Amino acid sequence: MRLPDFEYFEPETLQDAVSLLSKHKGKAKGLAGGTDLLPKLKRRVTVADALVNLQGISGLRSISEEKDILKIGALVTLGEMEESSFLKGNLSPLAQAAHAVGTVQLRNMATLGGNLCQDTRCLYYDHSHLFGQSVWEKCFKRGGAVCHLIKKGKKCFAVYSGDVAPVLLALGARVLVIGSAGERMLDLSQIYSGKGEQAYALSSEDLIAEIHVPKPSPLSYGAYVKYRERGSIDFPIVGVAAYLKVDGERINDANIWLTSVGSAPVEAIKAEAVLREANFSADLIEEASLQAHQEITPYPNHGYSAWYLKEMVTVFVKRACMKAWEDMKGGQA
Amino acid sequence: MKRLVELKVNGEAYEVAAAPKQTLLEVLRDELHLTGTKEGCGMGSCCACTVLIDGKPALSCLILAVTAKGKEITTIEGLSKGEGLHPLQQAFHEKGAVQCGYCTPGMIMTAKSFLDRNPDPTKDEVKEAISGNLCRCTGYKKIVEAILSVKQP
Repeated sequence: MRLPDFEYFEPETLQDAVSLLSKHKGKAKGLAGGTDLLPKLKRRVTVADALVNLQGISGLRSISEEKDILKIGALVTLGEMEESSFLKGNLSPLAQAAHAVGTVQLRNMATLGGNLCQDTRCLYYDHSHLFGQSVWEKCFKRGGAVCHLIKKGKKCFAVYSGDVAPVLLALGARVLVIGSAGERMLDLSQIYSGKGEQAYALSSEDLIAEIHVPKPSPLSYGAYVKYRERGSIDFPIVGVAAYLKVDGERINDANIWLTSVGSAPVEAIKAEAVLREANFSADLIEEASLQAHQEITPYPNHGYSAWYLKEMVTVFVKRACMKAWEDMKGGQA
Repeated sequence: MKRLVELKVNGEAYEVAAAPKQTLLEVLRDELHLTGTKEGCGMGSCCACTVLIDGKPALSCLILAVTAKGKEITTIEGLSKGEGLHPLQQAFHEKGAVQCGYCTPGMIMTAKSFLDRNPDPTKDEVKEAISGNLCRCTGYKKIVEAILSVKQP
């Protein structure tokens, strides 16, 4: 498929990029790696009068440390993240999550900012507009008022499938957003609206400039586990990031975030509460995973039923916690 | 509206008039007539269109040609020097790693970049490296054998 016509701009600063986006009043899109946007333009499910290429903006391509914060520029590619010796040494779950995305080709192109803002997905949406028009009435995500995935569904059930966001959320990351009103810092969770049809709570003029990750304490251990059909190039069926802050056998703090279970990343709050300020045991992890099973109701995706995915939430929350714990044991050995 | 774009492909500088909507793949094939690079899905799922950008494999179907200016682009045509085949091409030929041949240019470019970074890989590393490149004919076995046969002693 070929791309439609569009105007094309190459701003050199973030402010210029924001002005261009603002001038086009929602009809211009920022272009970074292009791996999410260009297929959607080809399918004509996203329409843009103009593309604003962000790749020429300097200062957004580095990973740097500042006191207790690790700053990752929004244009750092996932390939650079998985190869970063700093991330591999200090935040290996983040490097692993970047590695878990797509293929080497996609990771060399896709940027962290773009990955965090990737569109929600649905079996009934990710096709060409012709396919959509010929077969079904327009769904919520295509601007209509029905859901084909959940019969009689009253809202869009498209699923957020990013691999990196849950790890960043478990680490308490914040994002520096530049918009027409200036700069603002947001918790990463605040950029997600939870709505399938419009997954982001950012305006069309907002751009993510940097991702700020608080450096985890030396006694924090984390893991990202991804359930997928193939070893390569697959979105997660369920993805779980877990970070445990430990002191000996005691878990002082726990953060567990899931991806691919809803229209935004989801925190397993009750499971975290079970782990927090408790002594580690296999039974404790089991109990936490059962809490996650109770509190999380996944949207069906990838052709799997919500019931099945709920079972997988139990399995993969358990695996993520065990992996984090084993990482701690490995570090002590 | 078309604009002039300077592209450096296989060590040669080209000045091409390209519309912003033209992908690098379209410009390589239709303007520069370097038809070795193939279009498969056009959506980033099959990696048939893989070329090297500054030495790293990337998908030419999802890169606008106007954004590739100033970058070192290598296509399958740029691999062999002179009339002989590149060792990877020779190995694919000798090991029977080519059937219909459509995935071969992308597969070889991915393998080239991989071997440049990891000259003595294991079989599993090779399998992971080419895991994005889809081949519907060979079953991958001979492709893996061909890549392993090229690894440095």
